Amino acid sequence: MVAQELESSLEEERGAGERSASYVVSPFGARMNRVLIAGTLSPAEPIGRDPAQPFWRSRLSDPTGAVAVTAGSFQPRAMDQLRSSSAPRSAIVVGKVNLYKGRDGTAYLSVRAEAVRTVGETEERAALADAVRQTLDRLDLIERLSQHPALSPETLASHGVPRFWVVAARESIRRYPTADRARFRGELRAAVRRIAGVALPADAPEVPPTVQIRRDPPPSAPPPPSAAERAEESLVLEFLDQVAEASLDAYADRRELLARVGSRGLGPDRAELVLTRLEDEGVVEEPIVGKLRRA
Amino acid sequence: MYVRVARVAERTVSVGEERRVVYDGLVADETGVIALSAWTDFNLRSGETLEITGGYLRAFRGITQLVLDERATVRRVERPGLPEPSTILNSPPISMARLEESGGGPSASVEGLVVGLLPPSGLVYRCPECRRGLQGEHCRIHGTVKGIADLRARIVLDDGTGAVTINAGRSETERLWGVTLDGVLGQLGAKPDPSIWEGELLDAVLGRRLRVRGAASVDDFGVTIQPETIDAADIDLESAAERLAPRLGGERP
Repeated sequence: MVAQELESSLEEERGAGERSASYVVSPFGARMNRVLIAGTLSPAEPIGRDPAQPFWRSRLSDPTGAVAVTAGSFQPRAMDQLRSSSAPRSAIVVGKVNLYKGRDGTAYLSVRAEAVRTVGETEERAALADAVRQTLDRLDLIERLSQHPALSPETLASHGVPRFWVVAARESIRRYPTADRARFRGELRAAVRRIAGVALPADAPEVPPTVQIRRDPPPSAPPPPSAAERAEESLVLEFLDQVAEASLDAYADRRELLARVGSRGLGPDRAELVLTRLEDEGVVEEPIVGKLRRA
Repeated sequence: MYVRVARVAERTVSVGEERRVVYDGLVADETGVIALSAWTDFNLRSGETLEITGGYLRAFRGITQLVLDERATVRRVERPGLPEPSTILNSPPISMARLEESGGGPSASVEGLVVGLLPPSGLVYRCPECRRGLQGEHCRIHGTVKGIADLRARIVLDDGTGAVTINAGRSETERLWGVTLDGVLGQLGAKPDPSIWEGELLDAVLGRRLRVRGAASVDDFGVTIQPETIDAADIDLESAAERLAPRLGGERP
């Protein structure tokens, strides 16, 4: 994974059962539990106040951004590795993603390191090349699914697309309806330069700001909708029922619905947000991509 | 069926009290590759094209084998169009997602990064009778025994589309680790706990890019490969960057 995709990840999917895995969903098609990241690892600093429970944090940066890497006494080897250097160095880290969400809806992702290896620069660039290629593959899949929502996982699997990528891409599309994926694609250029071994000139501008993601409040604790939002919801639901009733399969086509509410002054971005909220609240479901119905 | 022999090797096995010679190999036709296990000496040679009748199939450790015994007939024939042994044995790596979809195969090749190890890895103890791994000093067949030290690595390799478990034996583990069994045993006084060695092995292999070829089987735990070859795989960074650059968009009108 590249660091910017991790930084941009604000959504979590908690497993239902006690032992089921939970995932962090990125705007760019990843549904992650463990990740491998490569970059420059800064010297670790101790955090936490309890000396009996040491906890250390470093930052791993690559040309796209930076992410916090932590290790505590439950990861003794990784903690030793983090602490082993007082100077920045190239490293590969494997760990679990951890999403902290503040009450104000901001999210902060860190990687709880399970293993760390100091590597040479060539190996770091090779790992980055893998990360960028896979990131582009995921973005391509999102594009494909956005254009052809009815593509089945079976068809895609026969073309070599992993089934869990399809699940992840659909979650990404659903949870980040307004993410600017084209811009993120362009922002991988700095990483490709680094893979090619082109040093960024000293006076090069800073890496461009990250993709603008709306920091919507976490779905678990949504603020009560305002009267205006309630009105938008009833408009969407009213048209959803109309479109569904008129269709042969009893589903409301998403595009048609968006066009209908658009004609009543509710723009597509706004309508998507309302739909997302309705889906999160369990009022509306999308059992087939692009096809909506009342849950 | 008409096949090309890609590879064949002799091996001795114990069947009950009896020692028998088995000829293991790989054969292929235009449609694919299958493992071969001949219990009769047909004097098979790599590169030959054969007409086989009377063989049968069985699943052995998750791999489908074509078994030839004394009831099978093997004729050497001219048969153009069958793949060459080098083509069969050097097929390029496929994605792990495709490998899992296909259900495995006798000679699969994958490439990915090491993301972890599964226990038991590093220093293990085996039963002197059957070579099974011991639980403490206990073999589940032979009871309490004095274990024989060995090295192994159950490597989790990931290419982004999926992950496979590579069961590496002692010589492959020593080569990847850069540490020998004797080296480990020499330091056993200072580091008696096998988990220390598992950690050190992980520190040595984490994130390394490997290309692995071997027999791949798929079960509830995913894809497992019994490796024939494990090689460090380098990528050409400049051409990788050249392939990635056109995919970044942005310059399009």
